[in-house]
Amino acid sequence: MNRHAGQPYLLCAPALALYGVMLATPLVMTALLSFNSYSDTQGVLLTWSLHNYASVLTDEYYQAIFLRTLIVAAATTAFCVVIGVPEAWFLSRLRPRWRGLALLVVLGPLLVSVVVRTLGWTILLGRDGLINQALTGLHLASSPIDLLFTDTGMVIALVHVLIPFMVLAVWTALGGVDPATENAAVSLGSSQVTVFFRVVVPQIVPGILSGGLIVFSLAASAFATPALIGGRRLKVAATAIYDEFLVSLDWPLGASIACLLVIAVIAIMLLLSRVAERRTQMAELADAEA
Amino acid sequence: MSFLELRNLQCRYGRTIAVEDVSLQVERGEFVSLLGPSGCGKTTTLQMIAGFVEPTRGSIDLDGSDLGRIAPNRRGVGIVFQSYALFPHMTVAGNVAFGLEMRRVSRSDRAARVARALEQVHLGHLAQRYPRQLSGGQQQRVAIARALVIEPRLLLLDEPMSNLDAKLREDMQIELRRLQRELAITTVMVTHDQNEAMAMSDRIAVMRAGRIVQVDTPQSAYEHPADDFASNFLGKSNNVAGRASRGVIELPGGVRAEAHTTLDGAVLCSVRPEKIRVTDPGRGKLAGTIRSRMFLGNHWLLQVASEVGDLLVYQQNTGAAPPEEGQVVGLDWHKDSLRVLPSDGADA
Repeated sequence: MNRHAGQPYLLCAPALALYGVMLATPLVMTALLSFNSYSDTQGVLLTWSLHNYASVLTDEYYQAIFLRTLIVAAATTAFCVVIGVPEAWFLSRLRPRWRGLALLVVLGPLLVSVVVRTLGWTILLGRDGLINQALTGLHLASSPIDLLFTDTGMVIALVHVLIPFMVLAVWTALGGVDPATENAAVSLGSSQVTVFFRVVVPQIVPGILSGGLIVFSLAASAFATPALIGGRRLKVAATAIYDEFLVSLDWPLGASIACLLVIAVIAIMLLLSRVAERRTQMAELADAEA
Repeated sequence: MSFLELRNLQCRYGRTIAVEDVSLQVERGEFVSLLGPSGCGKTTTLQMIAGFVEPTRGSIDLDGSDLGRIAPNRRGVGIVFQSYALFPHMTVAGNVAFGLEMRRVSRSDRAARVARALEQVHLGHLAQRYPRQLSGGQQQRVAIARALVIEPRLLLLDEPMSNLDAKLREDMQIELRRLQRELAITTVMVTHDQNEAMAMSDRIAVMRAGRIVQVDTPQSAYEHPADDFASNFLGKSNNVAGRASRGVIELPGGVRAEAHTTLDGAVLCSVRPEKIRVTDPGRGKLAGTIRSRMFLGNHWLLQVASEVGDLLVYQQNTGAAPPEEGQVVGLDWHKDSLRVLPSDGADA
């Protein structure tokens, strides 16, 4: 047996090396970079201090960017839950033949290049875009509604591309639900709506949670969609980092924003899963009392 | 008119027919089993009664009203599922209370009725546990309590014992039967287990390929099977093809046997293995050679080669040694034990 003791590590080595080179190294270097400083004349200076963090955290400009990032990510996550969970439930109840086709449609957004997809949204959302033409044409709106270059537009486009992750996560969780429990609830007198909220949703909370975490972290760090839909004016963390690195050339400042984004996303994810765990425990306790 | 009446039920999924034509009457308080191999349509029939599957033809009446017009969640039918289908995120008490909650029973009333239902299945002390913390047998009791607490007009059991081990299954059969009698609740059970069907039911409906072959009390279904299939699905049977004329059957090898029958022409003769007696060689109606013998505790299963083919014989374990393998014996049976069935040629 001892002869084989090292084998698992050996087998993991290639993947670990890849992770080390491709992920850990750049992350560590970015973290180190964020402690350096920048001078317009001399470029990056190898000093070690927290002044970049201090300037980001105290500057209202960056505070607004972070706030917008979190609001957009939270709203995207919320819409993905509200739309994606029932969607996954309906899909799982389709006949097998239609299910495959429907799943392909759901995954559609992921199969289209991000630039093409986002430019498509700009055509739809613009002042003279299809949506506004339809709204004014049907006299539902007197003047065009601003959608492009707004937070709303950003959320719409992000929900569109991120919803497959929610559907897939919930779909997987639904696979673990005994369909007979739904029939049991019906035979005991529940309507379909009650079945969904009282029997199905509580059983797929872990799936909703993991889907939500994926959607939230992807939305918070999204770059292309906010850059194209939000435009130059409405910046989020990812576009701000891009600007620092490639426009201002202040790499250390950009690195500190990047680090703050990573920390914020991880913190919120941990908090969210904590709250959700607490919730399910409380729901179980409430049921115990009923 | 019967309490539950299924009339010419049919169910197709696309081109496949799950249930061809099923008609059945169940009286109030009666326990009827749908017995058949997998794929015979028994579960689909149950699901049509529950309302989970729409019949493509036919009607279901319960207590004089047409169930087809009533939504599945308003039928007032209690169901025990094969997988039990307990709600994993609710406690035992929560599971049992669910149906009462849906019926808007007041909180205090609910607690009393849940407690009573759990007492009935001897699970009062486990009310606050979650299903995953219970054994299979306990989970099943919860499922029964959950179905009974709503005081259903009809109880449907879908292979309720198939996930229990043999000993527990027997206990549950006795207990479920006791509950059913006590509450006088009309019950339809689906099973592929002939012993379970015979032990629990007032009547058995033997199903095959989407049709009911025979409906009878367990005893007469066993003693007077309607056809070849029923005789083999309900217990074991020695079925030999022959020709009947005026109460005498001509069997292969020139053997002739008397029987009570009005049939003429090609028939099947059926004798239960326990109805055949092993006698001394040269006596009895037939000579045979023991091919193999198997010890089954309370009896021996003998395989005997004879002129009419291989026959199975049960011999009671009286303590005496059974005939050796290779030994020549005589076989005898009473005329009344010989059943003559129409030859349908399907399983020839």
